[in-house]
Amino acid sequence: MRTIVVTVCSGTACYILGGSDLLTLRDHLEEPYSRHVMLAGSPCLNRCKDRSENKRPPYVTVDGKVYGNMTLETLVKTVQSVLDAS
Amino acid sequence: MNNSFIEMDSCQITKGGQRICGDVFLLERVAESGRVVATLSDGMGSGVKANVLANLTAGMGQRFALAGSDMRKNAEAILNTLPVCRERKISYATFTLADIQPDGSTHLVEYDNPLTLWVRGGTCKDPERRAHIMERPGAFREEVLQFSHFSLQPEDRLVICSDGVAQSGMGTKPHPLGWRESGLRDYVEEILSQDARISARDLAKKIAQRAVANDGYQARDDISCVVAYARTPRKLLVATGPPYEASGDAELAQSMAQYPGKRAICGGTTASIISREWNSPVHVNLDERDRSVPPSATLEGADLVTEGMLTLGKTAELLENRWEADIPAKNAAEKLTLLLRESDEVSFVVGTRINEAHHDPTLPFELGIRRTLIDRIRRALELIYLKKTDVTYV
Repeated sequence: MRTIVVTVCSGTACYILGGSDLLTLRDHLEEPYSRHVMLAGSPCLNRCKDRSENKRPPYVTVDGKVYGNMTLETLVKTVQSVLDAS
Repeated sequence: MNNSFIEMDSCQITKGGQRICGDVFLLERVAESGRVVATLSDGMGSGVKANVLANLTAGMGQRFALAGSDMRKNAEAILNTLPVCRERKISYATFTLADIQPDGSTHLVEYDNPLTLWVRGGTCKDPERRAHIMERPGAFREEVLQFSHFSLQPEDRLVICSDGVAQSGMGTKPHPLGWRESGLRDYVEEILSQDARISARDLAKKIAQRAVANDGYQARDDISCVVAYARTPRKLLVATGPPYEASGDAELAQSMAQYPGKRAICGGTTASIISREWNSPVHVNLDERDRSVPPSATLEGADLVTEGMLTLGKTAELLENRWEADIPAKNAAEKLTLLLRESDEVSFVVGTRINEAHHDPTLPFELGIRRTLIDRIRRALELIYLKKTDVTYV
């Protein structure tokens, strides 16, 4: 299993729409996944201003790919599936 | 003395068992000129009665001094207004009035408070005082008013106390006659030998706490200490919000880099812009976990990086509620509040580009307008903490 970087946006809109929960990702990942995740924050991923994509805050990047509308549940699932596929 | 900032702060501890302090300290900074006028008054007795008397006295002192009338006449008017206690035949409230001009020129009027200490180069000295004696009908003795006029130089301090400090510990074994002015002098010199740049706020706090310790940790009189400190101003630049035109990004980053003081960035987009322009990465401090305020971040060259609207809103609240610094700060808003409070001159650079995501009607609450928040913070800094502030919109 590779180690991947998960970057959570902690800008204003992301934070109040659930980004604060996403920063607790580590507490919700089980072994062996948690060992293969490097959690980082970003002051702003600059996605909320882009209205062309049909996505909403909070935004997260998992292994370089951007995801919107994230909840803790979908983030855990996304991380697991990305790691399973690697 | 040029370009000095007069930092003035106080610490008061109420007599044990009382809920209201009988010493009153009033402080005003004239925004246009930078002149500082302060009065400490000690009302006779303690509790509500003492507070009312001290308030009356300090209020008169402040108003007369700010109106610019003759100091001697002012002091006489106050003494003639103050009632004389029928039993004790003494006046109801003592006072010390300090009027400090931005160039350091200082007038002191002292009436029955412990004498003010003037500290230069870590050593206490006495200003040259002229006594003015007044007879008042009903009083059992003549009243002595002390006037002095001298010039504060950069790094000079004034220490003004109520008798709760000078008489602290009276009757105890280490201080049978109280701590006295000599004890206070030695203590001030000792602190300054350890920390020559201690802020007015911290020095006043240390002195008041030591006086309470002398009293056995339960103040036996209202204890007040006021410190004035003339020093080079501590400057802080707060950049918040992206410039209206993207072409302003480089200019903002450059003016921040050249700023002669501390730098704070409040806003995710703003931090990204500066990070890009300075070619320096931002690291979010994930160990800061607070539901109400997003974590702060670090960026080389900036003293503090925070999120924007939520942090500024919380900071405005902390400043308006006179939040007592609880070191170490727990979240980004507390860090920003501490940084603002330890600065003397704060310049805000406010970007006016609108982030549409902030005005999405489906957000759980309204985010407000950056400009309004900055106005609230500026008002609190100027009115409560006597800071100089300015704002530029970009």
